[in-house]
Amino acid sequence: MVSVRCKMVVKEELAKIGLHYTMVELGEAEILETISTVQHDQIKSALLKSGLELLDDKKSVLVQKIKSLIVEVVHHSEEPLARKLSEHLSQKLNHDYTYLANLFSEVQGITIEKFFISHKIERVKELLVYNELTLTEIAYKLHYSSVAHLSTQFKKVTGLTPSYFKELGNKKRSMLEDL
Amino acid sequence: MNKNITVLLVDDDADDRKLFFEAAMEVDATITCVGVANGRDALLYLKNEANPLPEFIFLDLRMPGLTGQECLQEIKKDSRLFPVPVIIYTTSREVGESIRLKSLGAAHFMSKPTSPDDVYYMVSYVLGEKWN
Repeated sequence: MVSVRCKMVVKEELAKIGLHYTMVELGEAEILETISTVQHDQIKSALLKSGLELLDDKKSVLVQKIKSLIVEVVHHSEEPLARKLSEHLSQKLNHDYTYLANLFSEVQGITIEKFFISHKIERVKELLVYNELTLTEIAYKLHYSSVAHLSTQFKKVTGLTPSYFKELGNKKRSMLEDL
Repeated sequence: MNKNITVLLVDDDADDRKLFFEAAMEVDATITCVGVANGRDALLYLKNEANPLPEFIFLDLRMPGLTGQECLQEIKKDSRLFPVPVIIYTTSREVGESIRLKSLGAAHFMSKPTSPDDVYYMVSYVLGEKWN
């Protein structure tokens, strides 16, 4: 539940069911009333229609918060994180990083580090497609220690070099222009 | 990485050392990997000023002789070694142990992954962060 839109959807659906909230935030909502089984199912199906999932066990909620924080850091922040990701997650979620890392792997089947790096590479792909920044600028923007580090990670995750990926995108575009 | 870095891995398990070094080389082929099998050898290496000071120390906990925790405490007592980030690299998944070691000066606590792929992502993450 990263975006404002997601929060709005949750608020609207709760209002439709006649439930009142004290707070709708990143991955959680506090409802004033005691929810009946029928209402629970109503919320679940209403959210599902909007592409959202109702998570009501604490572990899943925490994992969802980890994912949301990572997505926020990678896709919605203009500035690189001023602190390490592990510290950021730990301080935001008030748990030791080892606890969060264990829980994430147990529930998601992948490590936080893999999830984080995969998202960073998705962001790199997006920026390459926009064609507004050089690879060096992208490396700086996404807090890579060097272009070489970015390129190696990109190749590991996608199987392609960033320049080849960009070339493929340009070819696709020029083919479309020929139509 | 901006310059050629040296990484010291202290781990008594030869297979784990191999797995780690393969992952580190995949992250950056210019990395110099130094491996030692126990805490005593780690301190001998680190205290010898003829050796380059590593940019990172990855330290296993359960080793014969000097344990990882004792080795960490010795490293943190030495003003020359103190700034080098020590990453605990262990099979332990205990939160209490992670909190205790960080309070003793460890920069990060990594539970050893089982697959080579996950080792790559962990090493890539750690080497990509600024720990100082």
